[in-house]
Amino acid sequence: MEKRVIELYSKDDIAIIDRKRKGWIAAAIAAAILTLAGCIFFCLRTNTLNAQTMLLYCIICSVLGGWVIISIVRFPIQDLKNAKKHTIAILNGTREEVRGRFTLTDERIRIINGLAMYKVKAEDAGRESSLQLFEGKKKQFSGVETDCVYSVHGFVAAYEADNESN
Amino acid sequence: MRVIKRVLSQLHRYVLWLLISAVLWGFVFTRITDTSKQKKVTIYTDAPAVSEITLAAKLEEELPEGIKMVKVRHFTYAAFNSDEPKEADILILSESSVKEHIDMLSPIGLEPKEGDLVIDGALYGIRVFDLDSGRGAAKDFFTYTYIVSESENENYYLCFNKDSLHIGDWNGSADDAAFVIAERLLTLD
Repeated sequence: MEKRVIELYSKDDIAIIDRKRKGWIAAAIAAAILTLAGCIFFCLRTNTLNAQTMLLYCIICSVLGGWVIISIVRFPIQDLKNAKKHTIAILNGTREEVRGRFTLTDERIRIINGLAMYKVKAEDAGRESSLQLFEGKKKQFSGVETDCVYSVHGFVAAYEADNESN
Repeated sequence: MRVIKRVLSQLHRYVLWLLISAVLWGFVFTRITDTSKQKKVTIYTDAPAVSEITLAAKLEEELPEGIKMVKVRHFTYAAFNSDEPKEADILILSESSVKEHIDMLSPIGLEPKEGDLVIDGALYGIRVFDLDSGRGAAKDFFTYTYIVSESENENYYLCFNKDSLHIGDWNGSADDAAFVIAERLLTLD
């Protein structure tokens, strides 16, 4: 049967990541503007009688706004940045062909740069090895039955499938 | 669980931001709730208790021209020998405090009335609290007597700092805002 290679990564992925990242950056900027506006509002309402209360409101507004911004920057934005780096590395890396029987496990691991990966067990003639599958590609790889996977730096980058199936 | 773990991994950043916010806004509020000595009249007292904020707000209802703020400071903020009373324009002091710190007070250029504090022939303090009768000015804002240590109770006097920027001709300062504020203070219940 004729085989074809299904790619898990493409240059479009980078464009999608960039778009998402810009969206999150816009959300962080909006949060910063709202926080600052809130603090300015409390400052403008300050008078001798309510100074302590307004100071407290201002600190609460600033702290909560800051925490939201930190969360956006440290989680989605950082994750997308790492995902982009990972995608570029996969697209530019040298591929290796790995043959065998592949099983996608539910074992989720976080690699050094913070990206979440799933372990893919490979079994070939009694020899066991493992590869990693980027969390974002799990949907595409779930339920796939293949005997040939292409890996880059130990990450699943593509697989071979029968022509009629995806 | 995964989310909580990730959030906890950033805990140091959240705590650091909390501290930065508190310090930063504390500094900003210190700036916006204060002004230069030229534009404010500061009242200092060593009375047992004073409602600083409500008294300041009350006096700020009618400010003399050129004055933007009234500050009320209390003895608990700093020791008497700190800069706090030296920065004040009007001082509400006990009789013993007046005598002890006479060198920083300005003689008052008015005719003394009964009960006022005259030292070496000069009027230094206008009586604001009479211990014998228990009557006093601005009693809604000041507590002039100690409940526990009654032996420490004294008469209280309104005095002016000789280095004030608001006592007019007495020391050649630009305005007499301290007199206007003091006059209002003496008429408060």
